[in-house]
Amino acid sequence: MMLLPSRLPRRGLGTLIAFALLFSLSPARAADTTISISNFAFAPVETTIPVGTTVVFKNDDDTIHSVLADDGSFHSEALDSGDEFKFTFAKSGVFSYHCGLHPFMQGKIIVK
Amino acid sequence: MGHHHGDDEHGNGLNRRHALECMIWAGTGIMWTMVGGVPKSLNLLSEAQAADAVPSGFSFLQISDSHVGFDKEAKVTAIDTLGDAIDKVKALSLKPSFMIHTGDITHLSKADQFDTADQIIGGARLDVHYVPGEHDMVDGGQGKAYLDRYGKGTWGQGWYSFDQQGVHFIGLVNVVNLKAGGLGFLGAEQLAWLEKDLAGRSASTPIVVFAHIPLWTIYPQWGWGTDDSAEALALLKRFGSVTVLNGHIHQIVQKVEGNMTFHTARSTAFPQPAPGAAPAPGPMIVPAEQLRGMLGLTSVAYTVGTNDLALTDATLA
Repeated sequence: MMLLPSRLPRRGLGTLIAFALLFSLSPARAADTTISISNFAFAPVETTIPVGTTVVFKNDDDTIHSVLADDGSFHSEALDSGDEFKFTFAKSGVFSYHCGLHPFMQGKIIVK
Repeated sequence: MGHHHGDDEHGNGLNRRHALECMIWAGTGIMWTMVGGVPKSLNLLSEAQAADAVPSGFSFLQISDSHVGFDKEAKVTAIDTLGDAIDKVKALSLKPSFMIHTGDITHLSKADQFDTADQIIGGARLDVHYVPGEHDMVDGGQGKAYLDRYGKGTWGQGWYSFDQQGVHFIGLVNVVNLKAGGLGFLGAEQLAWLEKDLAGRSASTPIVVFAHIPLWTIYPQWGWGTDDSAEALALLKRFGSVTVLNGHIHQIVQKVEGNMTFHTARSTAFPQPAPGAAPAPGPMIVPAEQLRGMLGLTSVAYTVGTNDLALTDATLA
């Protein structure tokens, strides 16, 4: 805020403050969990996370993969080497998923 | 060798099945074709021999897994090696009737990758019949990019058939709607179409089926097979000559079962390990000087009246 130009209109400053308040009031976010896609497998294959956790699927392979919920509730685009896909699990439950290109690659996320 | 079932099956001479077994044991780079009952090796680029083997009939080429956009081996990209493959095709004096491409044209289904592939492959000045690989169907539109370009006159997700001088060609799609834990997948709609497509055709019609993922189970742990291929093969069983051409596994694997010959082609982009020879079926990054010896294309010759299709593999080295 210190770098804001002094001539900033009053209303603009108010909006910025409102945004700052909004962020400070939002509940603490669960830490991200990373699942590596490596050697045509999800690692770890099974992950248990608290509700609200964002899972980062990172493609560490030399070819492309994707992440697709068995029930279609979430899916990534094709992930090239090094690409990531993030998804936040807002509800509890068991979410089975697979690679849309190589469906023998399967994983499971348990949200508690 | 007019018929490769019936008498030949029990004859004392070298029959087609034996010849193909020889071919399998001989490994890559050489094939055996039957000329007057004598097996004869044939190189893709040996013009005189090829001409001898095809006194009538025609030949066509199979290229596969060009993966335009793959550049993990920075010194030699998939674009370079696809160009090499097409240069080999252009150098043929005995012009093939057409080419088939058994999928994974691109690495990521991007418009510029399809453009580049079209431009390079177009250099061969041959008709090309495509089927998609799973890498060609991963655009945001789940296959729209591929189908807009190659799907004209096809059914469903891009399957179709056509005829060439008495041989019936069927291009199948087994890379979409894959099931969790499964392999390649044809689906009920496509199988119903296939049944209709084959109905009423004489059992003496030579059939060539091509699709990306192998239509027989090679190594399910790596997804190298098709869940419902047995249903398709059952529909083909009554035909006297069925040749199944696939890609996907970036190496040659062959099998003969009854009247069916199965063959997978090399990639033009990068090799993959033999089944179980590595922790995963990912690209093998090999030294640039070895790469072209592990890439290649397949030539198929058909002689009218014999029903025998001769398969020849050649590397890009």
